[in-house]
Amino acid sequence: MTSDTKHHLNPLSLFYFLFRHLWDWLFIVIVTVGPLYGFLEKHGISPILGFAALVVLIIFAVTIRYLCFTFEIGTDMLTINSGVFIKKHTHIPYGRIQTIQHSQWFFLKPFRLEKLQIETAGHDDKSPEAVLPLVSESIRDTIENKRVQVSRSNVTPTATSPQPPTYLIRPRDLYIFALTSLGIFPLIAILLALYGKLQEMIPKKVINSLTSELIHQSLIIVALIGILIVIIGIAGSFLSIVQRYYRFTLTVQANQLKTYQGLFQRNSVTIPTNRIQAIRIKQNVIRQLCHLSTIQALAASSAGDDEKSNDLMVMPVVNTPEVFPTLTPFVEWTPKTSIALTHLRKTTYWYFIRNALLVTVIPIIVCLYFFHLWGLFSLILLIIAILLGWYSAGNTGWAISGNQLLMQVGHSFTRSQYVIPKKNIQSFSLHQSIWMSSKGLAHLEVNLRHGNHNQEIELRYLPLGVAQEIFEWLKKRH
Amino acid sequence: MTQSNHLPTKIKTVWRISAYITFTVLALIAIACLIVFKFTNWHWLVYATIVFAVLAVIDVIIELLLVPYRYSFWRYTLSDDAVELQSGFIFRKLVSIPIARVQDVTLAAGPILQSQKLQEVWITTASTSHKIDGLAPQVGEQLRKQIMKMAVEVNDHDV
Repeated sequence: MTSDTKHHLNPLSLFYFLFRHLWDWLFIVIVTVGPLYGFLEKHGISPILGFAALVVLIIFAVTIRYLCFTFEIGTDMLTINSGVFIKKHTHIPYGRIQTIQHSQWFFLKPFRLEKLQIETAGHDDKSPEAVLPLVSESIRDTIENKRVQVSRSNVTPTATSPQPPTYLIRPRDLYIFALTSLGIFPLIAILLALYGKLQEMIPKKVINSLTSELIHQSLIIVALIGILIVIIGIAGSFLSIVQRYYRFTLTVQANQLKTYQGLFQRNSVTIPTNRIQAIRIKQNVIRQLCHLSTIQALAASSAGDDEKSNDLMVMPVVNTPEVFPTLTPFVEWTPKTSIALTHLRKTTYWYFIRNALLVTVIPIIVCLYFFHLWGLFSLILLIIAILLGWYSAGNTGWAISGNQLLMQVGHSFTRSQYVIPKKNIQSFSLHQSIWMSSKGLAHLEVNLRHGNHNQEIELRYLPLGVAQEIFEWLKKRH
Repeated sequence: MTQSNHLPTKIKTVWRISAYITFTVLALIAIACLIVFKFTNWHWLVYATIVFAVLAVIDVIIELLLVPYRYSFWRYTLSDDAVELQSGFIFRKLVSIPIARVQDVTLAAGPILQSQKLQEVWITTASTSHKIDGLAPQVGEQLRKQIMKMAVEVNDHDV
């Protein structure tokens, strides 16, 4: 391998190393404070000098770590060397790269520095295979070009259109998107919990003296606080979404999708379109009413949009009827127009509702047992359960189009439609209980690679004939 | 060969032996609890003993009763394109793993399986992994060869 010279990270990344391990360092400092102080006193050394030495030691350790971290951009692979005592060398062939993710805080923009994360399909949990905490922007271009070269030589070059299609989120769409997020509800719950905690922390005496005065006003106050919490919740969720998807941009070049997003921290992900395992079109119930959809990509990399889900955002908001026409210029294997799905018969809705009701039985019994009459409020759960079941059943749908399977499921008031190329289905199964077999029903489950794990998509209570038909279709190789 | 097969009959012995082993382990824990109780007089250990003893008995009974059920409804099919695993009667399940999607096949045998001259087969795709409880070595070998052949033919392992 002819490798270029080893590069170091930008010297500013010293701060990165320092802050990333800040808690470890603080821990060391706190633990050593007592003994060190005693030791220094005993030997008549000024404590300040001692602690200065400790700080110097920490800086020294960080510097060593920095010096040991190098990377090489070779002709056919990227090599990352790290570790002080245990030397670690990670080699990543360009062809194996799934996603390249870079993020840049606004204050690093003038320095043209950014964080690079490179992922392969390897099963390594959680962390990306390569993280370059702070490098010059040009590094990313170099790596991306290398990757394109590799894929060019393997795959027949496709005609690149003179002007690559670009999608930029319209501010109005973004605001609507942020307002229609169901994320508001968890946030409200957190705020309510905080409020409860605050109330506990206020001394009893204060409350007692106040209660007599407040007792007749309390209802108004509670209502006001409730409204305030909802408003703060909505505003918080709104702002966090707006800042995250601020100026969301999607482009495609040489069959690689590239997204940009974010206000304070500009994030960007690059992924080759043929590495996308499936496309998900997602709508919560509010967005369904507004005819707005979110398009995400499932990929074998955990480069993602946010915390728990490894979903790669492709387009945050699109008008539902325009989903496929807007998407095809970017991901060419997707259907050109939306495809009519087959839905379940109304008679099977009952099973979904029954299952949802069964889940609520235990909490209702617990509530009735502990709160007696007040526990009757838990019966609201029954209504929610019926709605949930109805929603799931009503949104279940499927279709086969060319070499792709379309599956649509409804979960907790969110509808997801998956477009899955057959070649990406890793395994699939039919499930049936003995009671279902007499009714002629079956569940069909399909397994996909998503992030570093398996994602199963299940169509429940399909007519057996349909389930078998899809099963047989999946079995055919071409 | 595309007809579905039962697992080798010897697998029943394997299941029984492992049921007995679980029983022994749980029973030993129960006995250990009892002994420690005799020396220390910690009363909660009496409950622990009872729990473990009951668990041991129930577990071994259920496991042994399930052996014929599991055996008669667990089937596998090896075809040119796919491995199919079928199980259960009350809760039926039919899994199909396209050979073109298989990433690796692992044959393994612990002491119990070795004593019965069987091998456990793990079939792993990019996202799922599936287990066949026991196969005769030549069948496992055939499966391995078939998958290797396919892996060379198909070149779209695009994960």
